[in-house]
Amino acid sequence: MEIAFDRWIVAEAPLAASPALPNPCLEPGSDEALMGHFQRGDEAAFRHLYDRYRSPLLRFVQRLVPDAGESEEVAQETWMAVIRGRERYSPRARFVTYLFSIAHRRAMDRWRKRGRWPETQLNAADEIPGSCIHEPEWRSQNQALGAALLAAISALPLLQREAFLLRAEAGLGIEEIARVTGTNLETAKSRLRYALRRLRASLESWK
Amino acid sequence: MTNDSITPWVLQYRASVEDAPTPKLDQAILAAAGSHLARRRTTRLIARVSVIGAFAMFAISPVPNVRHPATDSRTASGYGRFEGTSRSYLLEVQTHHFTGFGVAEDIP
Repeated sequence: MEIAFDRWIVAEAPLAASPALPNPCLEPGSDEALMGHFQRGDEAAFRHLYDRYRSPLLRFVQRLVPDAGESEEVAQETWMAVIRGRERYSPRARFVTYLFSIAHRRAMDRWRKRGRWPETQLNAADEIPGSCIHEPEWRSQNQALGAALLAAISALPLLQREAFLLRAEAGLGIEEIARVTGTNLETAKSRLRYALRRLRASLESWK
Repeated sequence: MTNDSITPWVLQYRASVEDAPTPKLDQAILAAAGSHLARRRTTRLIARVSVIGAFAMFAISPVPNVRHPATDSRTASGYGRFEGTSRSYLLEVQTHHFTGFGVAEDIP
């Protein structure tokens, strides 16, 4: 798969806000409709939702929690919160926003329990490991490019990494990222902008 | 920064990641969802049965169906029926004469 990273210069233009989303409640197969069925006792609807978001949520959590071994536990807690809170769910926002908001809170709780606040990692992650991606034999392999990208993502400061993953895994727009992470729009934009800047820098050799 | 600038990164990321099977986790979550719904169904069933049972018990209970004898307010008490007897009794009845007990301390 050829991926053209044609925009290597970090654009300073403001991030575009996510486009207006159609009302998902009107779509029969939408997440919100499925959640509505689940609220009324349809187990198959939950199974559909779980199949849709099992992998994205797990990957999101795996790259966010301090210990990768805790990822399945956090994912389970997230889904259990959805199950137990199904009566309280109201489709005012997209289900995916609701789901990843829970996962965000659970992951941050893990950091708090460890006594380490993720913000402390912001400066510590300035040194992006790029040694592996400069190896010549990787240059022609998209698989290697993917591995390098994953390594670069793992090296991102936590909050920037989270912003990128919310976009990549959940497909959230800027406003939704801000809502999930409990920040304002500008902060969410900045995190995503800095994340891309770091990714570009770390994958400079792939240009 | 525009949406277009992040799209290649997102696409490359999605092409790079793989789905890791987690059968135990899947089983635990789906089982939890099933048992949660089953508990809710059971709770609702019990509530419905209780309400229906309460109505049924009230409906078949003899309490609301007891036939009280019809009473005529004019004849129910029979007041005045034996007025003559009562009157004669009242005319004949005598009060007990007060013995004077305690009127004087020396009279026992």
